[in-house]
Amino acid sequence: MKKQKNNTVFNQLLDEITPVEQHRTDNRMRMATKIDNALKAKGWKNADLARAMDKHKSVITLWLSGVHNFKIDTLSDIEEVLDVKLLNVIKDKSRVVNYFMHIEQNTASLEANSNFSEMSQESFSPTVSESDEGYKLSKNSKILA
Amino acid sequence: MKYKIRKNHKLSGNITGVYHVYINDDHESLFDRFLNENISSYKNELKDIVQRLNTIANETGAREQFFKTKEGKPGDHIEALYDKPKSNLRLFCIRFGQQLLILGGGGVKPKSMRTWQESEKLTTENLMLQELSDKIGEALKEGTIKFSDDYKAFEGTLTFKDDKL
Repeated sequence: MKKQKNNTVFNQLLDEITPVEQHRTDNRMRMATKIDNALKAKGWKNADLARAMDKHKSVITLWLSGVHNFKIDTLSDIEEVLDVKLLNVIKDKSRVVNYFMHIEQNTASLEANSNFSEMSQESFSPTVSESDEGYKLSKNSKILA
Repeated sequence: MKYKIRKNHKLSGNITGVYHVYINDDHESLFDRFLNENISSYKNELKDIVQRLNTIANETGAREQFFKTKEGKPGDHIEALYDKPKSNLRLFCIRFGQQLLILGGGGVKPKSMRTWQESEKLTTENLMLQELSDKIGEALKEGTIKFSDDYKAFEGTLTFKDDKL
């Protein structure tokens, strides 16, 4: 038997499969596996799921075949019927985000600037305003990145 | 007819071992021939088949749900990879549990065709696998081949000759 050449159609196809395409297939088949496991855990046959979901048995066979591209609604319904988590959707939680700003200023009197709020209006008048570019300070102040 | 099966290491994964079948002294396996015969008309379908075989070998195993069972005689393990609703190809294989899969050949089976027996090509491909399956069954019984401890491979003489030769 001759050794297989590297330029076979099989190798060409393998080379053409992108990681994204393979990942999609993996997920489709993993999902079908998860549903089949849930079905077996419940002691159900395909016909039982078909009845519970008011579908033809051939639809269940298709779902389990690993070629079906499920809609979210279908998966939600299967979750309810089989009591299994298929869509691990996590609700967005609000988070506290802290922003820090470093302000550097040239000044003659350190004491006057030891407390930002107590600075005299004559020596420095900080007007902080929000703009598209971020916070801006007036006079000699500057914002360091 | 002489059959030889050989493990395809590119396609075999950590869950399922995948074998190719060679007839007589052909350098092309039945699966490679199936790919060559259909690449020009059904490239996307073939790509999808290879992707699914990759997933089976590395992720899920050859679970029964992914195959059309009872495609041959009772008990001969001949099945077909499930075809997509709009697909035109049928690929036969011999499946031993989730761990070992022998890829055979196949051909075009349009949706208008009810059974593979209506196609001369598919009948030929299926009957070849039936014969091979019989020979593997005999060899397992006689002990000339056996499954490896993890059931993902065969051990022994993987060439099966026709008794008449």
